[in-house]
Amino acid sequence: MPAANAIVVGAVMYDPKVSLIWDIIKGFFEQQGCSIDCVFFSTYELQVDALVEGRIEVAWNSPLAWVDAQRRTGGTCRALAMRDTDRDRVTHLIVRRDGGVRGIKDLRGKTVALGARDSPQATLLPVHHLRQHGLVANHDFVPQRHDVLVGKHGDHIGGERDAMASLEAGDSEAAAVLDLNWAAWQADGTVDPNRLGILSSTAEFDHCNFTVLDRFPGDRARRWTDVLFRMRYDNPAHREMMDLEGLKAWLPGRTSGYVALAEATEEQRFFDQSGA
Amino acid sequence: MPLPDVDHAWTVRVRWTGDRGAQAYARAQSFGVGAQASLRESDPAPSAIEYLLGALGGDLACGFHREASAQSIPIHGLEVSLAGRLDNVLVHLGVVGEHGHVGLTSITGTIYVNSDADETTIEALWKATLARSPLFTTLSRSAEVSISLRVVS
Repeated sequence: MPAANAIVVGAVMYDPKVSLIWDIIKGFFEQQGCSIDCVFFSTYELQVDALVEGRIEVAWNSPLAWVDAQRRTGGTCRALAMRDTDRDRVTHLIVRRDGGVRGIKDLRGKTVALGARDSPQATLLPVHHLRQHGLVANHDFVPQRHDVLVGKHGDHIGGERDAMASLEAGDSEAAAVLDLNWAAWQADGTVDPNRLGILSSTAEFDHCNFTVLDRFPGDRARRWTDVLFRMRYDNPAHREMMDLEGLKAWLPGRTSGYVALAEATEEQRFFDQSGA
Repeated sequence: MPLPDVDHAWTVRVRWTGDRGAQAYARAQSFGVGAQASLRESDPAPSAIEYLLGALGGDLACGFHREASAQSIPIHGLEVSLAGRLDNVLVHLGVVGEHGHVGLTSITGTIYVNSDADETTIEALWKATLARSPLFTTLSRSAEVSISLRVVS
């Protein structure tokens, strides 16, 4: 039964294990005297609909969902909090060391493997990055998309993994991969850094945040952040969730890291074309 | 001659015990039931879906042993391993926008039998076991149930 006055939080579920993360968060919030109810969505579009329509109060948004929410509310949303690992991310363009691509200009006329069409890190931002270097998609290079679980904004790494497989198989000359995935895949042996290397990296950008509308009451926002920031990685009960969610600490939200993505969505007419 | 009364209903009583659990009572036994379909690594009690799979495995193990006993075929060991998959577990978790249903679409597994009998005999026992299994017969009408037989020495 929903608790009276519970804060209603939305999250996109890209994997059933996401429910475990939210079980732990919900349990912790209840222990701390702040009840929350979780609503899960299959896509960020549905989640942003629910946020804008007031059916949820806090949305655990992807960067693209943040840009969408801002677009749909006249830029009035607030970002309450984010993971430490959401800050200052980059996407690498990875190439084969023996592939003959030495600089970005060498990608002219070549195929670049990307993630899902709505992935900020694996499609929108790297395409923006290439454009800043004078290469326009479908004109100067061939974008090869890997549309795994569209609607989940690249949360599922399948698109990036497929892009990397395409590069390794010689079906493309570069692949866009989030820095965290590149590091993890080197560590677990998925990729061989002797065969593959970084050609270029995007400017730093920020990833997810907890988004609220401007009318979300200040006292509820404080309750939310006060409890969230009490989570500690050195507490074993919290560490399981923090490891699953990939963070060591919750930090205050900031919105300076979404400028490039907002530019990318306009430049690529993402929302005009429903992401096509 | 009147037909014998073969109607029999098996009964259980299940009481919610709070904290996501229930206790089931059947004749003189009882057992705890945890979540409907848990994704956690551990829980105080098996989930309902695990009981269902366990019940199917128990049905087949006991049934196979009964068939073998009826033919005086010694069985040295017998084990059933099963895995069940829902059509869309995200629907069960209440994810807005997901499609499909929460029913089991497949149950796969293997029954391992250690016996001195020849394989043809074991296969015949297995076939008879499936034909007389209430749970296999019930579940295979709604899900793809595929259980292979492996004879081990």
